[in-house]
Amino acid sequence: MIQSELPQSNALSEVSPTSIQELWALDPERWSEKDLELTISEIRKLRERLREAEIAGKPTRNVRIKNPTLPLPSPQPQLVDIDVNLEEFGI
Amino acid sequence: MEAESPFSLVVPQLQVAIDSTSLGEFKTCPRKYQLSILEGWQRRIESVHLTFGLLIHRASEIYHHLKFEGADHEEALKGVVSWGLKKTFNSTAGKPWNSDDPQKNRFTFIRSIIWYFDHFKDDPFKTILLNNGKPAVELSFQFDSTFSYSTAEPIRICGHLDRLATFSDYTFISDIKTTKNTISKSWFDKFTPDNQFSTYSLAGKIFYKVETQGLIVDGWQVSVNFTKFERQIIERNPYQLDRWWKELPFWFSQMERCATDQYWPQNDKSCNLFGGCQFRGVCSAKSKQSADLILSQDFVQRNPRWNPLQHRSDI
Repeated sequence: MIQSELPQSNALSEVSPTSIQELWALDPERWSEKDLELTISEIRKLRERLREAEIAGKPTRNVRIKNPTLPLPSPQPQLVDIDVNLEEFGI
Repeated sequence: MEAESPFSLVVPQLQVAIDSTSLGEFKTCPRKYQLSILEGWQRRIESVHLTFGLLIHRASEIYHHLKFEGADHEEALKGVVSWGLKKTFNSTAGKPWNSDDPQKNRFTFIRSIIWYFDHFKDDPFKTILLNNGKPAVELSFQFDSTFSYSTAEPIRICGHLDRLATFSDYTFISDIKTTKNTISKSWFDKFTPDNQFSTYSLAGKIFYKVETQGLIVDGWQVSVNFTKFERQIIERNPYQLDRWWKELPFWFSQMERCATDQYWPQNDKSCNLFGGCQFRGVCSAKSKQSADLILSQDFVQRNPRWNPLQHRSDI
């Protein structure tokens, strides 16, 4: 079983996809419409930045989502057990 | 609602309702078919690829349903992203789906669906409207193969199609496939011949009675940092379909013989396909006791077992 300590939002200026996953460790049921729109917007921006990097001939592996524009619902993140059983999701 | 059994009433473990997954497994290796389809063994560790595939197909279904209900692109996208975030989060346990796979995980799933639906926002392939007023997405089908077992039981072909779409007055069956590799012509070439796509092409013609031109495959190259999309038409002409059809009795007779004998032989030339068979350890065990031990330790039995007659639920 793995445990992952989630980062504090205000400690991040730029986060990797893994960190974004960690930000998403909070229940989406509590997300506002604005949170959802911002998430979509940030993921779209990521695509544009990747395209720009490709056109400029720059490496794309370090192009990542920038925080803090990504929404972070309260409360602050906490230790999360990520040993997930697929059946729990009804998949 | 409990689905009808896909098995013979006369010979146990003789499948009378066959989908492309079952037939494909049998063609690959009868022993693999026995373990995965008949006995339902699957790895204790979830198959990330299966989960990811189920999620993207369901996401596509939801997006197209929302569009048909009158939502514009932005509304449908928000709806499907919201569903995706919730589907990959267990509120009771308070934790998200976590995959160990750097390419197929919650983030790459959400990223991929946003980019995909944006990419095909003005898709020239329009989803067909069924007579019942619903969009033609995630369609279950079954039809008589016209072949029977020696028990006189007819054999049915069944399964599920992703979407029926039209373009320039032609009808196509739409499907999504993911890969970690660069999508090239050779990647699309692997779908001809292909058991699943031949089944789908026949289903379109026979069950839905539409003269399909073939399939449109949307290939998703899912990488750690990006997802790219390529689309190609995969054709099936009458000659190709006829040839595939004519070979079915051979496979059905093999399936009947295995079920009658209660013995499904290994095809040891398939053990290394697709990155290696999950049952390789079981088949290479030095005794039956050892094989049983591996199964009990590393695998669990799917409950309920694989049933291609199980309809996919509406949203």
